[in-house]
Amino acid sequence: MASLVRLGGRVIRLNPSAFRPCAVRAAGISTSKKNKDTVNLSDALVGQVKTQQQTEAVAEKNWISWGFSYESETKDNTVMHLTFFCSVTLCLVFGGFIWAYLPDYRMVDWAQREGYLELRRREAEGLPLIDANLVSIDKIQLPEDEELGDTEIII
Amino acid sequence: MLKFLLACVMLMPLVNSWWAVQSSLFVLSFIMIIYCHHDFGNYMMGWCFNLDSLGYILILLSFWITSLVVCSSQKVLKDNNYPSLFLVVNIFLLFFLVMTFSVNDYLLFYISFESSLIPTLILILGWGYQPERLQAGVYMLFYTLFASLPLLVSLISLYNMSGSLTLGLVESVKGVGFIPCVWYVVTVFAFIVKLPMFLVHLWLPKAHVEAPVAGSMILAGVLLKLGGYGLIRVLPLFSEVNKSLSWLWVSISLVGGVVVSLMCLRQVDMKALIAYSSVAHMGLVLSGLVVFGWWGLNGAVVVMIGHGLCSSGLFCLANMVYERVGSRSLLISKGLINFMPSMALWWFLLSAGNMAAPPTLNLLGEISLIISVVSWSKVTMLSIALLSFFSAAYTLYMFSLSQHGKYYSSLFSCCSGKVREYLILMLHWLPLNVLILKSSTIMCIL
Repeated sequence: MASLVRLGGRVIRLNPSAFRPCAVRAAGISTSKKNKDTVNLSDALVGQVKTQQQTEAVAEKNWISWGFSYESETKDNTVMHLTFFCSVTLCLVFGGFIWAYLPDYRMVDWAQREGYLELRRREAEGLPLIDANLVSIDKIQLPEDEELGDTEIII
Repeated sequence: MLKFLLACVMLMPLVNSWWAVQSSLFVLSFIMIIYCHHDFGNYMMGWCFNLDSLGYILILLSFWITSLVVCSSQKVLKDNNYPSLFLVVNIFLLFFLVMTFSVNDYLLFYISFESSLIPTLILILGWGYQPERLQAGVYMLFYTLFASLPLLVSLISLYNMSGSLTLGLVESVKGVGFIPCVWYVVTVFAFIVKLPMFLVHLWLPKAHVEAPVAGSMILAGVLLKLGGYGLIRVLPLFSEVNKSLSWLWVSISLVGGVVVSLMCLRQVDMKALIAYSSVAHMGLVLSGLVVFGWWGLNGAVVVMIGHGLCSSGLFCLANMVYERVGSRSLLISKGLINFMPSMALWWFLLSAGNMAAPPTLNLLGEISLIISVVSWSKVTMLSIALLSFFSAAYTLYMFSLSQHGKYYSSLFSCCSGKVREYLILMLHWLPLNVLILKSSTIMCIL
């Protein structure tokens, strides 16, 4: 669960433009020049203006891509984790677990049980195990020839 | 069912982010896996959609293959070759495929069946690699349209006769006279061209070879199964005529399968070899289908799923070689085991799947199909023996020629396999080999 939250955070941080403020104000706070003092005119504003310099001074060391992104190592790593989670963890592991433990899917086990029970009943009563007639012949009443007349017989 | 179609449509706003679409497609596959409850024959009914066991497994295959397609087409993203438009086309194709496998009505099925051609054509023409793709697109479009326009006429005649085109409510065509025979041939011909059967198969090698990896994977993985699915839906309406005329389809597809397998042994282009092997596999599927027994239907569905995973994986492998070496020719991309030994593992595993080695789904399906076709006529044993033998022969030929031997001297170096590529291949291979343990999910379609 914690790793899922971490992964979600990394995915969101992949696209930081959604979270950057639209406008940056550089506001300086300073005191007025001390005219009474003769010497030190401090340009004290130097350290107080916020700049947008992003220092990426660290040289990038060579990295081997997982295959998901060749430009950014973090994006490559994040997308790798995301893809593996969705495909392997969700589909193969959870999906496989659900399929493996489905209760009597499509009533296959029930049908086989019923088949065996029917076989036992037929063996006990001495009936043929597979009968050419689905229903026993003495229960069928066919109409007489005169009743049929010209009716087409389709077999 | 509408929830999945709506989910496909809602992927459209995300197309600016490749990885969002890819992850969402995998999540959609997971949700599809969960919706496998089958208390009754049909479930998730609503509007004009329903779902039964056959539609379920094919829709799951569509989602799965589309996710793998997006994952493997990373070159489109890297070269910035209109990636958003590429995703839009793929999502459209997925939408129409899901619709095709889930609609309740023959006419709606026909409309979505035809609609799935358009995104495929756009994929081939837009992202294919060579000028020959123009002719390939024309072949695919016109072969399929020529065969399926008569199907529209047949559906309208069925509507005239029965008053409805809802699945299950259409009366079967009775008798074996001239009109029922013509009606049967006209209806079935569209799916026979889509499968494809031997004499009308010419569009397949062209389209598969000229398509980009996404097009090849979707074509081999799902679009060929549209033909099988359509046949399963349409054949119950023509059961009497089918008994008289099935000899035609069985003969042509089995003999044609042997001829096409022999042609595989003469191929130099890797993708053409895999494409011709698809024709051979689908020939066996067609014969099992038109025999229309329990074994045949179940075996056909299992082979369709297994072949979808296996062929799609092989096309993926061929593309990985093409991206590195720049050629699909087996004479140039040979001795690859020297360059990428780990990839040779996947070449072997997927080739073993292609020749129906245990424990793949292909084995289960081919055994069922062989039982079904041989029980229909013992004479077919000859062609089935040759088909199985040559399927192993050309698969070994492809594996050995591409992997073994001395590598081509002009190859200087190439990038070793990336984790993404191994993941895609593993996601093809694992369901193919593990699903045999739960084949009741795939068989028992009736």
